[in-house]
Amino acid sequence: MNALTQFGRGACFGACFLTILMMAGVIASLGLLDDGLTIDISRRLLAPSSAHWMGTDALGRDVLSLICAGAASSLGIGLLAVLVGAAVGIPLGLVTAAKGGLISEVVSRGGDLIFAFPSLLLAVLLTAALGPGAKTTVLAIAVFNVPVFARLVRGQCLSLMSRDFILAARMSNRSTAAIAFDHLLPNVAGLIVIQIALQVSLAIVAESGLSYVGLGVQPPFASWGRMLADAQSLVSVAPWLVAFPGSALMLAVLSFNLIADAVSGRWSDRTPRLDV
Amino acid sequence: MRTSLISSLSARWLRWVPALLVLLPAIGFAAGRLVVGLSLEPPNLDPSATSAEATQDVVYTNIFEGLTRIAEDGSVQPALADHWTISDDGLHYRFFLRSGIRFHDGAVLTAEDVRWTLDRARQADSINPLHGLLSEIVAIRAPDERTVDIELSRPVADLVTTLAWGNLVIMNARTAAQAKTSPVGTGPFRFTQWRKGDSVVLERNPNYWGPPARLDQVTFRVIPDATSALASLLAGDIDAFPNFPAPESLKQIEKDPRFSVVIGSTEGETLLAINNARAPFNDVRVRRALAHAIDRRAIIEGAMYGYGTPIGSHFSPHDSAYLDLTGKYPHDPAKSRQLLRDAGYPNGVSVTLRLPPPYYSRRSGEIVASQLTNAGFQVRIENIEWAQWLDQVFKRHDFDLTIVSHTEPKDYDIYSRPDYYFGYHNAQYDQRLDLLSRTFDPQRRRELLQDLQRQLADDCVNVWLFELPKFGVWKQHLTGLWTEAPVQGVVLSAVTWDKAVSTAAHGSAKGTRALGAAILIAFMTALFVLFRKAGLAYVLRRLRALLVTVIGASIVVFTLIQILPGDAAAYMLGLNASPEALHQLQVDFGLDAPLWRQYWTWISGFFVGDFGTSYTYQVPVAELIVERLSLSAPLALLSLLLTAALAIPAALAAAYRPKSITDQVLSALTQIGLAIPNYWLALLLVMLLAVGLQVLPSGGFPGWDSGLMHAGRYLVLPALALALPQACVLARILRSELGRVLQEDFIRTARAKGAGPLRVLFKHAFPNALIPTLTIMGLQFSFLIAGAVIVESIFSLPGIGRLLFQATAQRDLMVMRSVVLLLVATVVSVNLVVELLWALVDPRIRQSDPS
Repeated sequence: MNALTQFGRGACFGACFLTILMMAGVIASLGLLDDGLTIDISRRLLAPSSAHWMGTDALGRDVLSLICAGAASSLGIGLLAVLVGAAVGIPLGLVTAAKGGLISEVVSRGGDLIFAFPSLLLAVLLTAALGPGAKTTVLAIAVFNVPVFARLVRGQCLSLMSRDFILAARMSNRSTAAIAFDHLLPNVAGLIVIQIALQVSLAIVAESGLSYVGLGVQPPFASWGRMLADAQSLVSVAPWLVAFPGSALMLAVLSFNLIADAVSGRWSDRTPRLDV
Repeated sequence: MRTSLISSLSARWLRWVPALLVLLPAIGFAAGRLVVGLSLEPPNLDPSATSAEATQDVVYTNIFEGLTRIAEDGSVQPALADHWTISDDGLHYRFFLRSGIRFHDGAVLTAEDVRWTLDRARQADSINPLHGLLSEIVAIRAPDERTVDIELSRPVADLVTTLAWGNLVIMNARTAAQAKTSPVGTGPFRFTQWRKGDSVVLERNPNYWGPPARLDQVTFRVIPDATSALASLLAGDIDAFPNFPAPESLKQIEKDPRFSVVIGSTEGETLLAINNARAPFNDVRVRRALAHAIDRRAIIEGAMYGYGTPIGSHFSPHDSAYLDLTGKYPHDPAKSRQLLRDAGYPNGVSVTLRLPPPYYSRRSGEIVASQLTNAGFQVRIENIEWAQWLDQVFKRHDFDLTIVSHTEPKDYDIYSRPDYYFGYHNAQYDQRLDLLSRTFDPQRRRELLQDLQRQLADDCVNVWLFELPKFGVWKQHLTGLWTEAPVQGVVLSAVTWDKAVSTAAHGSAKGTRALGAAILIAFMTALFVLFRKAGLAYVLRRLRALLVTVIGASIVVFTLIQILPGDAAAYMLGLNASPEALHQLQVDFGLDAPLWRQYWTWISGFFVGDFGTSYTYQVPVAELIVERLSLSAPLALLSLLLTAALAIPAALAAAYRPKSITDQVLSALTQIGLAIPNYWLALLLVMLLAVGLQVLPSGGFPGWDSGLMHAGRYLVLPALALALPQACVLARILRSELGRVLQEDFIRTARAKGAGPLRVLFKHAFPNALIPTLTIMGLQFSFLIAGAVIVESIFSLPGIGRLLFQATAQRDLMVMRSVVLLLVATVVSVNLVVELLWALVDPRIRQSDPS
């Protein structure tokens, strides 16, 4: 019980922080912060004050406005990339578990290949081929999410396949697809939700890393990773430029992890654990 | 049974430890050493084959010399030729060589070497970047040992200057072929060693014909990242940056009494280049609208922190013929909108601004974009790599606007080149330029040069922003480095220390192969042991899967690399490339062969260990990989050890009493640790431990043969930055696994039989939690060896990740594809080893079929 309330508190914090970030992102996307996002050399590198709560950057933009605008890119890209990955990976996992054979082999080997591929290199190659930008970033991150979900779903479903209720469904002549979606999917839905939360937190780190090396969202769109990259050589002059975006990034990742933990704690209390 | 297997395994591993700890004596410390920081690594060291500035920085007048040379004030001085005569008709040049000049290998410099060098540069299939400027030469003769005659088809005014440039330095026919990797020249320094991705080392040439160099040894260290540059300077690892890449830090460095900041000028006209051939920019009104939109002051202030001279045409402000045309199109957004309306674009114009990587371009780009937006343009920024820039912008002219600096001196002839990327054509300009090349009267030349400047500004070919400044930053006691940069190069002949104070770390190394080889052997042996123990059929099945993955990966890699825009040839030849030279280099690289043959050559070589030769470095790829692995593998192992050393005790302590204060605190700490990106952590560690407390070096790697402890110090911070987040992952997984195991029946049985909590934890729970731990550590090892790129670049480490990143930027596909495939193979092999380890640890897995 003690643990549950602790998880509850963490998840509450996570949910609140993410809600605030999302609202900030929406406000920034609607153009309400454009004044703070405009380049104005006359007000650059100002320390935090009542006019600029988190100071200004080297081009005179308001750091708080940039963080809000960066939230839109980070959360947007993170969520979208994971959802795309899940949308492709989950059906693949279901089908390979239900059908087996050659398809299963091909999908597993494909998964091995993606897992083994240096992720940054794929991002570099995609950027070189498709041009940099949000779409490329989403694609690069989504590709690595496909085998995560395919494996998770396949692993769980394989152990379900020998259960009596699947046998019953088979004997009543239901199609493979029907078995996969009506019987297997609901049984792994909880795990998928947890995995999505965890993957989004990883995707946010990945997005910031890509932006940090210049492969992510392109200016003038704000990004936490690029803010950190720009701030690095100014760390002794303007430490706030390193502290605030870094903290925002850390808290966002922490929030998703806390929520994932809370969900998995609740979920595993109610459902009997499935052995992998 | 289980524990004995593991211990016998670790005993086998331990046997290899002495082989890994190859202890070689640290080299002695000598005065008169210098460590120079460079932002880019030279692609190779042959200045006749590349126009890369980094190559010139290392070799120009240090290793190689020409007939003449450019002095710091821009004047042409005698070098290998001590004087020359020009016939009255301007068609016959005669150069007289100094006597007693020897190449570094002892060969005597003769007139024949000069003839051979210049003839090679002007041949039809020459890839020399200055090839085009030698077209007026009819013949070169060497009538005797020390006389060179050059005959021209028509007078050329600046031939003596052209011969002073870095691409026309004199080589020996016998040693020219090796210049890419171990150059042999006549200069005051001779080449010692090149540690790819890290440094180039030169030493004093004791037999130099002129005044001997004052320094004993010079190391050029590659620091690609602006932040690392600052950190390594403040930490004392670098003595001098001739071109410091971060103007925002100059104020901070100026305040530090240890350093001098010297601002000079370059020949770099930084411009907002316009595609004159593409609508709507073929309309001069639109180009002028762009010019009126730009506020140079704000750009210089914002992007360059106030450094840089505004320019209004393509001409260097420190040339005597310079004309200040910056007032021609004053900053006036309203005027821009008016011009756009006049040109038929009342709703503005959409433009794409493509920005190559240099800091001045990316930073100016953001400001330019916001200024253009204010003046009625809709701007989209695209940050691209050099290889892409060379391909899309420079070669295929597929761009609207771009920002780039043209650092070649007196390069106004580019505006008359027929197929240059500006897309500008003006017959009058071409005529004036032609006239200039035949005019020798200084006053008349000056008028003509000013006419050229005015004409470019009238036509508003580009929007010229500023002359790129040269930020020299070096230690107080260093003298003799150039303030100005009238030519590409870091001239070191007069550089010396006031006192012997160089504290920068050094390492000279020869053959660190032993380490890489030892690791490979250890790996193979481990594989072999596992094969023997886990059953042949099982191993074969897993091996087949491995092979399928690797071959699949090879096809994917090959295909992906084929569709990339840009190629190595374009990258190496740079801004001055002629189409013929480009084609020649592509043929040399074998890029014209059919695809299936290219694939077959590569893959059949790959499996017998022949990875081909790197395009840019011109050394076998296998050698590069082994060199890099000698850093990456120990770093990954060290990080993994640190990870385990931190995570396992933490997880055991937490699981000892579930839900205790310890458990909760550790849970919170690891939760936070998970959320910290490793590059942020790396940055904070550098600031605290390297720059602040100065207890550990900020970056770089001196090589293992500088001593194990000495070299090991350089890996502590990177390993820590890599290990901390990984330790949090491992600790959490192990903790939750221990929690699960502790609830199982056999634990209850053990407790019922009277086993104490410690015994239960260590003897019963921990071994059962090992399988997921091993799996995670296997994944972590793969990540650490392949995915450490960002940390490698923060610490300027020549690891395998950076090799790959750099090879991609340079389109060195020989390196790219083999490294990627090798990494894929490593990851798959590590997974295989982990799986086999399971089978060893848990016989149940061996018996059941996992697929």
